[in-house]
Amino acid sequence: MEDHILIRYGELSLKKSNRKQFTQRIQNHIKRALKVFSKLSFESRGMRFYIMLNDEDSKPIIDILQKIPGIYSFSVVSRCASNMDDIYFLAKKLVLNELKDDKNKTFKIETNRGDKSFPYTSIEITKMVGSYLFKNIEGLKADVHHPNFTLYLDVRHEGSFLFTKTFIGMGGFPAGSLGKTLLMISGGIDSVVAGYLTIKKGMSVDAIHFAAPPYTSPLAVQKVIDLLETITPYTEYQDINLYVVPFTEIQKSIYEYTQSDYCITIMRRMMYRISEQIAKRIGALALVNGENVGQVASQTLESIQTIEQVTSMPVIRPLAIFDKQDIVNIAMRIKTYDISILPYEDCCTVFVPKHPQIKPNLNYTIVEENKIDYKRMIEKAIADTERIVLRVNKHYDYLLNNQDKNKKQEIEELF
Amino acid sequence: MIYLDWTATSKPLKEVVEVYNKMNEEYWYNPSSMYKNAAIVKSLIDRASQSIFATLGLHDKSIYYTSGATEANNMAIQGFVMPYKNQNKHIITTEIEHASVYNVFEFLEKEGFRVTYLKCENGMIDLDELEKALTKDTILVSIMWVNNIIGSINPMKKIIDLVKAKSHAKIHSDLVQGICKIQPDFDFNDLDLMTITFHKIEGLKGIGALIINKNLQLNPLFYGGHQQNQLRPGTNDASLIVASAKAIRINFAKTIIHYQYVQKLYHYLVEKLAKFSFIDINKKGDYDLLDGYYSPYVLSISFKNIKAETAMHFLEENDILVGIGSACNEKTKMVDRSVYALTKSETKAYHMIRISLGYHNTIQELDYFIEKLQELGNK
Repeated sequence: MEDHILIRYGELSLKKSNRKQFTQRIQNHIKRALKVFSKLSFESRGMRFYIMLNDEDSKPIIDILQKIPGIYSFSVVSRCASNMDDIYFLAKKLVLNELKDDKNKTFKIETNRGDKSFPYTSIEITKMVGSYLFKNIEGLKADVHHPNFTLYLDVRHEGSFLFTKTFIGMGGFPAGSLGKTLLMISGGIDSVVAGYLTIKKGMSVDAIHFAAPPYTSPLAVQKVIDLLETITPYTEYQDINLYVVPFTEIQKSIYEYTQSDYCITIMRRMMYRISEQIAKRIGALALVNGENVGQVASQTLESIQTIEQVTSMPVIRPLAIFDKQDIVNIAMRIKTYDISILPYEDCCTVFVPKHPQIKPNLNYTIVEENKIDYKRMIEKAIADTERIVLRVNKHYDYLLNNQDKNKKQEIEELF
Repeated sequence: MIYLDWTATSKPLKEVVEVYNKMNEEYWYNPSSMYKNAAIVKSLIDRASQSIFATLGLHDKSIYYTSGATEANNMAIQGFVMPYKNQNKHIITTEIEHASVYNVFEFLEKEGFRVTYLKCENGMIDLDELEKALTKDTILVSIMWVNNIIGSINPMKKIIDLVKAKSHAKIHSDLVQGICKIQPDFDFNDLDLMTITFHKIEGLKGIGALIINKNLQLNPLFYGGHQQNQLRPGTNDASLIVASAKAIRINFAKTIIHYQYVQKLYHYLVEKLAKFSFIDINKKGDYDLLDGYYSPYVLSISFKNIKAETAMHFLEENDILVGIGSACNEKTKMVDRSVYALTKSETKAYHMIRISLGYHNTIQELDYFIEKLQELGNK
């Protein structure tokens, strides 16, 4: 009886000149994400897009559609023959389903009559269906101004289409439509949320992570992988590239040769330098991170200014002015929170000095960082950077993948 | 030795034992420790879990390893319903469940839950009775897939559809005698909680698993460390877990081949035994020749004048091993609930032996068994 899913696009409806490109992009994304459901067929009509279910179960499809940027909302539409008896039957079923959780919900009916040869006008249909429902559902309440739900009826020649539920989509722009970025990800709560929001807004995301083995555990890298795998389903091509930069040598020399309260400032400058170079290599147009003004010493406006001075690239900080609780709420919703709070040290936490500078002086920072041969070390770190491709539904195990060939073979044989 | 008690347990596969040994030689570190050696062990456990999910086609589920199916059943049922204690909630099971489900429901009844035990007069539940039993207060329905004594197969797809359409209840199923043996008519993903074990499918003893929906909250049976999401604390035995993933992967892929072979053995056996006047086959007539209602792996017969234990020992002396009742019940000396539910005869339920087949058995073995059974009948 469920017939199709009706999809409404988001804010891109405003962008007239690019509309065609944008809708095409979402449609391709939808088709790619629903590839495994072989019975589906698709139809585009103006600013609406239809997925014909052809007997596929709608439930797993709903979950996937809620992870596609650029979709404003969608509804699962049921179909019946265009006669009053069938319409009554289906309307009652849908309304009862709505009342399953809360009997006191109010409703209204909106009818559209596409088939002008149908013997009743849309107003008459609304009245008839309404009075049938009142007669057959005890305690049903209407509210035409502020209903809890609306029963939509579209009576056409080929059949009548009914729905009550509208699912809210992600909103934002079609994934990847606004260009590529490089996300600096640590493993904490913020950076992955920043990545999610960036994808939602319509940018594609590659990620960069700084690892300092043996001071940081391979589990810290695994944690970053697990976080990114959580947001991979939102991406246009259902994958994310992760660059893991070996940062131990740089970090150790910073701590050995520079003044301890400037360590964090200098470390962040090194990270930005490396990120910018990698961003340029992969064609990313901006850096993204989870910085939040005032959250820690390196995120005061003074620190941000001193640190950002090393790059000419735009830096997007989606969370710059969020309250922590709002970030946590998003993290919980996208299910990254529980992973983020795992207790592994990352390179931002492992070497923290007791009293980091909250107002680092730029000139002094430069004097301090010139004590180390960072250009050579950065070159080496970039040369040794490892690229990992993360894909939807294919978990990447960092430790197992980093075993030598014989060990890998031995492990394969266990399974 | 002719082993006809595969439902009690199975001999572990050589490959499975090899994996277990290899794990114990190389990857024996505590998976919760933070150093690399331990982290690899944790990765191997994760990989084993993914392998089990992939084998069974599961997504969005969590797996908790237990000491066996008994613990998994307890954890599922007690763990799910206990938060609803003293709220006059209703739970449903069947009268033919394994003791590790049935006795939990009896316990919960004493704790104040309202319990419906569905009748199984044909071996399987009656869908109309289930539909009538469901109420808005029903929170859990636990129905086994394949019965361990009489081998009846419940119509899981219809059960799942009915429960989901008519209630908000969660569905648990004890899959122990079905998995790797019967081709399911339903999607495992549609169960909210499911119990599996490995020693019945040529894995090792001492391990079972409860698989549940990712977002489902359960109360723990034990309190302790943070392992397994604090739901089942205690150091994980990675060796058992990885060996189990191997066992289920190998045998799940052979479900159909093994089924077709064992089905031939079963038909052969049933046909011969039907001619013996001194026994009854514990199946309902209407379903005798219909496949899909009874598992070919399990056959329960009752003697008219011979005690089950006498029969078992006579066969044992002739190098044939069969079961009497559920091995888990052997000390209780009670009549078998499943046979009683089906036959409504205490004598039959008491004088019952269970012949359970495996794909290792042969027609020759069955011929020998039939010959010895005939001897016993002639005595």
